[in-house]
Amino acid sequence: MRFLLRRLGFYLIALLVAVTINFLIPRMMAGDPVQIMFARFQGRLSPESMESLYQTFGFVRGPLHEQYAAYMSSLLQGNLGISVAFFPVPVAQVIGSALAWTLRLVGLATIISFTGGTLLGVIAAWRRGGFVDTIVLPITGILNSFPYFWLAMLALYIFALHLGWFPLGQAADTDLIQDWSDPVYVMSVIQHMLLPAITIVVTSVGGWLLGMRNNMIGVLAEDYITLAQAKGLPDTRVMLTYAARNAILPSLTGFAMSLGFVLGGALLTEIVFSYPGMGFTLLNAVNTRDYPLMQGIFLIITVAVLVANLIADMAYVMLDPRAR
Amino acid sequence: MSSIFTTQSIQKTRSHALDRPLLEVRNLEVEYWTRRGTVRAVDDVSFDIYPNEVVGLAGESGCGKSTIAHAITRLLKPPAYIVGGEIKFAGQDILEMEEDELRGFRWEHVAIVLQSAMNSLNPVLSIREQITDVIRTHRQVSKKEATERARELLQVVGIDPNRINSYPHQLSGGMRQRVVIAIALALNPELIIMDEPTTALDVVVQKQIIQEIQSLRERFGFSILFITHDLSLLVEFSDRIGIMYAGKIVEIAPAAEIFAAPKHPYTERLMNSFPTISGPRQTLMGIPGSPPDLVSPPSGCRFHPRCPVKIEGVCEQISPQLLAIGPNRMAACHLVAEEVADEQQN
Repeated sequence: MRFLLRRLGFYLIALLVAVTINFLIPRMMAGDPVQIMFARFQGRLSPESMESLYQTFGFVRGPLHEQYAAYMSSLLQGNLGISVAFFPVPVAQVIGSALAWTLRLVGLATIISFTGGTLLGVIAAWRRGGFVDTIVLPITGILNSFPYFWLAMLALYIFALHLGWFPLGQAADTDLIQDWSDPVYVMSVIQHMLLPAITIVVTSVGGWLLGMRNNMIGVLAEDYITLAQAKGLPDTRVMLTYAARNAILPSLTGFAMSLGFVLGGALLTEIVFSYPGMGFTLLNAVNTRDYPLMQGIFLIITVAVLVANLIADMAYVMLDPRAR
Repeated sequence: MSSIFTTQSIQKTRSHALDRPLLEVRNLEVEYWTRRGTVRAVDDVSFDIYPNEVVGLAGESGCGKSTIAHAITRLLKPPAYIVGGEIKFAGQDILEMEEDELRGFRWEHVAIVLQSAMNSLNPVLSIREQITDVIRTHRQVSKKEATERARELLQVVGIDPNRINSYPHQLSGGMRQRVVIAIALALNPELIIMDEPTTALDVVVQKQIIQEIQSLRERFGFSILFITHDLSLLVEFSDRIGIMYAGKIVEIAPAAEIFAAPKHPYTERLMNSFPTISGPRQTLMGIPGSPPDLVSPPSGCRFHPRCPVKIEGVCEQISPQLLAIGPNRMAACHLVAEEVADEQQN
């Protein structure tokens, strides 16, 4: 328990630092969004309306510390400002809808990839020289080392454009209205998710497989495995409770980190498949210098990584008595 | 103190005759198939263990003694393979058993205590789980009964039963080895193989554990195959001792006799390389040279390159057989064979 409280304290400090950096970085870049918007309208806006733009977007004009104070207080109220690119939609709302898409696609794909890869790794190590170890492992290894965008575009070209098995992009059929009680809409969402999800799983499963296999091989050489076998325990118990439970510990941190980065969206996936998730939104935000949106996204990513780490710590405490 | 036999469903009756060997190892051959070539780590080894007997196996590192321990429980992993011989337990050949049969046989009849007390327990399971899982695998008992039995076992090996929910890292090295011994006793096996059970412990704890094992044996009457390189420990503890060199048993005899008058030159040298606490001051002697590379073992007697009393023209050519040189006593040495022949002539 003390261990967890200490970790919690550490994460709070880390959060504060991250929020501060998050505040500073966009302000170091040249230009501000209002000026860009002003320029875009090519003089059709009066300087007075520029002032009102600053007001609407929540930009406080003043010294940095005043801006910082305003930023922090609105953060505490859960107010992330108003998006410039999607004016007048609040940043929280833009992120909300992107987040949902990303969580469904990338979150699901990451969990499938981790559990699948880990299980395959257990089997590869348990049956060394078997099918998984000699066939599946090198194939996933090769897929893992391809440049992702290349593989994703190839998949899109072959399976979507050429063979027409999958839609070309977007999260759902654009003709349909978002309605989760409509089975046609749900089917369309699943169809649109399938190909990007498969590309994510296929390219990332090899890493988990290899990592778990190597941990397992180390653990299998331990004396307590020999003893467990000498005890006449069933193979599944030796493999899972004695070997895999020890071997999974080093993988947990990696999994938590990747879960944290899920909320950042799989940038390349979402660009290749024009999937309206966090990564796609972030790219948009950067292109349009949408500072409030960028800050909001960075903030969400930061919080997500920290929360994921906290969860990993808790999982550690549950799985490894030595961490208690 | 509650009796270890209170849990009725767990106890087992012993029906094995005392005058017949419990374990018979016959012409056992184990090879390691390495890249450098085939290593015959155990070569034509035969010995018996009787009920309620402690048999010690001693020899330098790499002489094959641990390989024998793993062979008896069929725990050898590739590249180690049993290529010949039989291992019979109460008349049943262990090497012929099917997977299922073997799983039922393990721990029920033969338990093993491994060298490293530190690594023998699963770090993520409580000791309760590690004792009860073996009981519940082999016996139809409830969780509660198994836990009750586990508490008894802890008490038997001198650990407070209230520590039952501890994890291995919360116990000292000596306590961990006691837990492993408790696990070994769980099903009341006829034979416990102890592969250097005290090597990883300091001398004081070592002594305690040995005494513990001795009193447990008196109480429960199991046999022990005790493997170590510490001859002085063996002499004190075992009924009979086998001395191994380069994969072969070179001498096997009752402990007292081997201590009083070692016959094989290697045994003699091995005895001299340990100090005695009492008795006159003696210069310790090591054995010159080092154990042979088993990929290409020496011709004839494997000990001849290091042997100070070898017979020129014989020892490097003919491999000596293990010959009876007295009641219960065997040695594999040409010199000893000559002596025996001379005695018989006179």
